[in-house]
Amino acid sequence: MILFALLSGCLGAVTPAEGRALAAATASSSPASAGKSPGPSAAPALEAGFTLPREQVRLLPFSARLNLLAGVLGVSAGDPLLAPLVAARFDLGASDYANGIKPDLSWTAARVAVWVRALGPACTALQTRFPLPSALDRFVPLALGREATADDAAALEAASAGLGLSASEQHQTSCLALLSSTEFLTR
Amino acid sequence: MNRALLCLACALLLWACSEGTATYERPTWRSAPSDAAPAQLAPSPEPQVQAPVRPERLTLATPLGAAAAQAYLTQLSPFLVERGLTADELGRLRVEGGAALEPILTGWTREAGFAQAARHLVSNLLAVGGARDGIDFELPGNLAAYTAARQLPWATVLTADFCIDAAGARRACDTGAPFSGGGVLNTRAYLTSRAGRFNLTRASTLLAAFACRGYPMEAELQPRLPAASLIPLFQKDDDTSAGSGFGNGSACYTCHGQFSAHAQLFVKFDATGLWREAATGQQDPAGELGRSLNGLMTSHMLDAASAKSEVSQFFGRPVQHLGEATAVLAGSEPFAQCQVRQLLAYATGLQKLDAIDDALVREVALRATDLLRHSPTLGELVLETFLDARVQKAILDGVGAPP
Repeated sequence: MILFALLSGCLGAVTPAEGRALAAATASSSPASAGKSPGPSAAPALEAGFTLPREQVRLLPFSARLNLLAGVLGVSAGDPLLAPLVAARFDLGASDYANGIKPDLSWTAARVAVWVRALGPACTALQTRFPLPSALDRFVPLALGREATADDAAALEAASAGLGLSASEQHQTSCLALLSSTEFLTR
Repeated sequence: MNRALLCLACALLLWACSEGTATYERPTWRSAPSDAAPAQLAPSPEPQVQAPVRPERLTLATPLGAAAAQAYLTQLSPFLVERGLTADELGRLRVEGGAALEPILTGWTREAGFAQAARHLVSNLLAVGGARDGIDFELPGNLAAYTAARQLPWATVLTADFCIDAAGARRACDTGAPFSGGGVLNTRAYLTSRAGRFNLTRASTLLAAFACRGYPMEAELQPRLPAASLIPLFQKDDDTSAGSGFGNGSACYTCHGQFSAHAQLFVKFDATGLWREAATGQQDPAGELGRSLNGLMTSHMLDAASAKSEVSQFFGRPVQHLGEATAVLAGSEPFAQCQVRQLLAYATGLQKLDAIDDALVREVALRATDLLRHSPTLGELVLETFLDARVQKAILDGVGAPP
């Protein structure tokens, strides 16, 4: 600080940056600062408030699945397109506590089959707006909340390769695959 | 045999409740100077007790980038608004990244999907929903949805003196109780689905759902009723050595000294959830232990007048009935903290509420309640919880996208 004052007197005004550099230089060379690191101490690392197991995958509650699907279709959860799903809701894990049915968030093969079967009308209705797989770039952000990738297209192509599917069948297959995926149905 | 089974149940509760109960802390206030010090002596220095300070929201040093912010809200949206992210939200996150979290979350709290999420949160907590035997099991969920939709204080789910019908209109609750208040607990849905001997399940569900406590809990939070005031079955608090012959031996008073106060609040509700003036709380001499006459449950209380009265004590405060008890609960720090834990569990699937950092829960609750001076809406609880950096880090770490 004394050096800073002297310099500012001899050389005229010292810029703040020059002053800090001078102060740092004098501080680090003084016996009092020997062994100390200059500058502020590092902030402690942020601790997470709890730990979620990375392998944990949860099937969404039935109402959330239904509403997600309604959002993709652009309809309300009560729309007739979703009636097959609502009719099968207890097979799909919905609850009715009053009658002893607890929510069941296990995703079994049987449950997948029920879901896929009930999804048919919805996928058919989507073909006009989102003919898959060509409309993948517009459909994936809506359904999955992210941009479509080359891997998405490649996976759908591989699934239908060599099967000689019609355009309608290709759309249905792609739609069912995406809307039955763990990415869509779980968190 | 019945006594053995009852004390075995108490043993299980005693073991379960010894796991991770949070510490209840009362705020300290600056003490007044004493007037009694002699004039010739210098007064003793007053204890330098700091007035409590509302904790600041902990934010990330570097705001979340677009991808992390999107991943974060993608995890939360199905549970908080029961939908995926909209194109507008995705666009906003791309441009603003983490800066968009607060406005988006704020918008969510005003959506119909948020009210539905509130419905499901409470319905799952209380295991109610549907209809049976002429009882509407949707009443608790209806009240939760109504409270969230109208941005009423979330404590309304415990203090409301009304219920809500399927059309969203106010109606009288269906128990016939003459007192006001009680919220979701003053519904046949809750009371009948939790009916059980000595009203133990009604009491324990209330504590678990809204205070995140079990029995036994901290005595400074829930003072025990005097042992001599309880029926002999629950007075004992002997050594729990293996040679005693029953479950936990005879340490029934450890839990039931507290159970008694809460169970008494339900003494006039029969097994179908209807309020009965004539309830006595006396054991049916020909019935199963813990059951009174006419579908009612036995009281813990020894004195006949006390046994048939709804007057009790909740968290150390005398109360006349369930409605006053839930008001005490709703204004307590354990309630505020518990709702933070329940929100996190609901949105993340976390199974053990006590695995959430106590300091995080305490600070979020104090922020949301402004040091217990304000009764927050569910929306305010959501914002304070999910805008906290420690919550963001935990959720993003869990999906393999650490901030």
